[in-house]
Amino acid sequence: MSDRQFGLVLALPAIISLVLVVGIPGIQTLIYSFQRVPLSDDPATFVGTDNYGKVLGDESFVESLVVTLQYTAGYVLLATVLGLLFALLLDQPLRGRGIARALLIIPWATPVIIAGVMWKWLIDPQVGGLNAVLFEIGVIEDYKPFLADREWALVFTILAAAWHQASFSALLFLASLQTLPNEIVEAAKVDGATAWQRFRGVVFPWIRPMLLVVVVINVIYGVLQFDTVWVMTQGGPGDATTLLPILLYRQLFIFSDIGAGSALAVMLGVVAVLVSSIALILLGRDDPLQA
Amino acid sequence: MASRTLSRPVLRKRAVTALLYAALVLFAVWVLFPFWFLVNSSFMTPAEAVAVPPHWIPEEPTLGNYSAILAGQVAPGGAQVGLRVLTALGESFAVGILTVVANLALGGTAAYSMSRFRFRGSRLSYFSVLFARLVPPIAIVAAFFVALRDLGLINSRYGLVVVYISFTLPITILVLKNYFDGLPRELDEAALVDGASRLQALWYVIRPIARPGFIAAACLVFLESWGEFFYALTLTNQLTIPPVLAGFRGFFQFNWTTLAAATVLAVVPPVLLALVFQRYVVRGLAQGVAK
Amino acid sequence: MGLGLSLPAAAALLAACSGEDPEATRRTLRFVGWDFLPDTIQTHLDTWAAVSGGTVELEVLPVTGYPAAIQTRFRGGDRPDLFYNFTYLLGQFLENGWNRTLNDLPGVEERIDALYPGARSRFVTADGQITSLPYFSAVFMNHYNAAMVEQAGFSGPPQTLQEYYDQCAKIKADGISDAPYESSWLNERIEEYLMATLLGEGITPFDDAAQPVFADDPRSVDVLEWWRAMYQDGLTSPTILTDDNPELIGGMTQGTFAFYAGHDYWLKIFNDVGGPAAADLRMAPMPGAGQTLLAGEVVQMGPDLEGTALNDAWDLLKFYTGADNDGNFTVPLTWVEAAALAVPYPSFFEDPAIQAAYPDYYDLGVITSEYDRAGTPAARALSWYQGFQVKVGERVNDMLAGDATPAETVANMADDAVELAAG
Repeated sequence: MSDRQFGLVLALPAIISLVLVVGIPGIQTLIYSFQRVPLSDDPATFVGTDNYGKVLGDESFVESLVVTLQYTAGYVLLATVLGLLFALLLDQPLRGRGIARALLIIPWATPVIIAGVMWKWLIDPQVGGLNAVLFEIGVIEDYKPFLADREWALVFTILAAAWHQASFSALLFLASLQTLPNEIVEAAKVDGATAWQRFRGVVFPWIRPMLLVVVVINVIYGVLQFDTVWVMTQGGPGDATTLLPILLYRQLFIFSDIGAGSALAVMLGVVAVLVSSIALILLGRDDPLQA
Repeated sequence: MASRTLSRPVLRKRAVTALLYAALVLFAVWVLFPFWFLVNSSFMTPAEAVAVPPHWIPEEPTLGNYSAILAGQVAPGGAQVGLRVLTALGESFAVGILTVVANLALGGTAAYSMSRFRFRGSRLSYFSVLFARLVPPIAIVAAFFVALRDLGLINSRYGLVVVYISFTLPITILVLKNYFDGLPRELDEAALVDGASRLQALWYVIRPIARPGFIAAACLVFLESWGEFFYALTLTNQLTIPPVLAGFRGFFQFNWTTLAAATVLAVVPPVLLALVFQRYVVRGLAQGVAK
Repeated sequence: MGLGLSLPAAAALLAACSGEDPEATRRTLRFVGWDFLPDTIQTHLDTWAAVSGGTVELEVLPVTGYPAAIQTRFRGGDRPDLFYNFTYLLGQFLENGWNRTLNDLPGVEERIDALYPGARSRFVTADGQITSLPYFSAVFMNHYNAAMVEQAGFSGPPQTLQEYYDQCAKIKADGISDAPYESSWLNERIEEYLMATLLGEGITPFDDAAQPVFADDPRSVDVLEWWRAMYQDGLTSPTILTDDNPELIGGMTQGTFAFYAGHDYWLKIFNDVGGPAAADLRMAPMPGAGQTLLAGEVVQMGPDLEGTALNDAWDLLKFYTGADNDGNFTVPLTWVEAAALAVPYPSFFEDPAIQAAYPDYYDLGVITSEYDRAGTPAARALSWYQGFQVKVGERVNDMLAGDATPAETVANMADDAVELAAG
């Protein structure tokens, strides 16, 4: 057996598994997106691109796409930047660092659906604690009903999800920072580089491969976000937080239109690929996966 | 005071340290502030949990929510908790462990192969691994249901493990391939020279050295599986902990305090686990991005 | 056993006489419900099994996500024998052949005839198919803080929408409450408030052919004018568009809000949770002299039943949704005790055990008189109606945000209904 064959044999179980659990359902979704799929036992019929026309022709799609892009931008930015800051902080030789690293796990160990319930409670103007704190420290002059406001509702549904995800990002960044050889940093210090110069010149280039991985993962999670928003606002107020996955839920479980739902699912995948690509181009790296 | 004699660089260093500790406090607030209200409510009666303005610490603390869950009694809000929280925690644990084992077996060999060998389609399969995460669970759950039903795996931990592979295996491969890339090839070659078969080299030489990487991937996968809600909702009867927690959000009762206590209990096992393996997680992930 | 021979036993006996083995078609039934008092559900199933000799297994799913979970099961060919369902899913289930109609079952007519007339359309389609029996029912009521209403100088709760507005405005102006009116105007619940208000004003929302005739009634625009004014004039809870159970419970029991419009079981939740204002909370009919909206969810029968299994399932369904074979409301009694849930039968409210089970602060006279004038539009049980609920949520939100006038909103909603009904 040649090396190539041996490699293939080793990779085959995983590839077959993924084909079975992702490939087949994914391709089925793609096929459904060109069909009318009755829920009864009648066979599905081919309808060309009707489902795509239906999805794209619905004005709520465009509105939802805009909301999804805003949401994803905020989510990726927050989850990534906070994660990076946490990692940089927890990489410093500080007292209590061990405990702090344990704290890092808490948001991530909280199921996302519960994170949503928790944040909704937290920001409630009556029973929640956030208003009380902001009021006490003088940030607000009156209790603010955050979820009543379209912009704030989007901000806080982002915050709740990013609270969970920032820890995930931080852990990956922390790992990357651990491998940064001390000598390089010390050498930069000897050369008289300021902290910012050291970050720009040494630390950032070192963690950039990991940054790209984190951004891609966060983009995917952002575009597919559902649980947190659903338990916090059900897409409201109005359609202020109606993300594409919420539209997808409605197509599949309220309008019971499997064909249109599948078309929407395909579009969702396309959006995620496009947004990831844009993010990677902005970060200026051709191949994110060759870390 | 001695400060008169301190030089500027020393002062500067102290200021930086103070800033860092301030940042550490902010970080702790970010993690603990939302979570504090959850912990707080878990020691409250329903009446106190909805007090306006909210209480920072329980004025009449009760262990009722915890004793209901641990002893299978009726909770203060009226929820019949039974022993389902404990049972579900056990199931979540079993599903998590099995998912981890499956991931390490499948992902470990595949990642090693993708790191060491170039076979036809190896690049493509590496890319598709990440994009496998793009398929929205809402869209493909019906396909999973049919397949698991045919296999008799509805409401089964094994069924969930099969499904969870779909979104955890990509992460495992990503992390482990990076890890293997960081291990010198000379290791494999030395083993082969000694007369070991390639499989033996993988098992006896690479596996022990790669242990930190395996543990890191295991922790990531375990936590991803621990918090998963939608598949557990649709493919089981409240088998694992997230749908049980969701069940406390009822129509006809106020079960927030029960939900809070159950959530606190649900967050404890992964945090403990992460604490135990923390060293390995960071080191393991760290190795992964070393060049 | 003798005279107390239950129906399945009788069927088994008949089958035995005809030489068939009754056990051949007997099997363990599957019962799917949602997570409210699961131990009590299990007790009821055990009780039934002990009396009937049948066997049944319980599967419990969370309420959050139940629609997705139960639909996924049926789409995947998994069809339980008895299951809780939401009223708004009735039409879709019937269309897909996911539930068995009950028309041919012995004694079903008596059950249907015993319902409050206004409840009938939930369980029987326009063409006479009996789809389900009640899991529970509730009437839409106006919960109010009597102390606040009195402090503002009113002798009682509002009788009309105008009075409702005036009382809220006065309560706010007097500084008694900054946000007098609370409801749960989450996107998919707005339709329920629309129907409750239209019916209260005596407006017929849909005709017998499920055509949206509310648009022909000029008072529909008045209803939406009132709605918009309540919101835009700041008389509602600021977070009314996303408020869910915890927020509104706290707001009522702590004395933040003066009014909460919603199902009649809320009064018990408020009292159970307790708080400084809980003792001041009362319940009154919704303003308006028209109909009261009757709400509630159902239990349905799966399509794969035959022989003894069918008889068992029917026996269990009757036991679970109303009076048992001895005439006792065994199962509904436990829902009353736990959460003041009702079943829509006059005989239920006449039962001494039920009357005793309601908390003292419930005025059953008021509730039964509301049931007497209660109704629910038959269109609500049609398969396209779920889509309409989403549309109503969007339309009313647009109006509240100032993007559409009440008149436009009425016209748009009527167009939506026609379009959705046409498929």
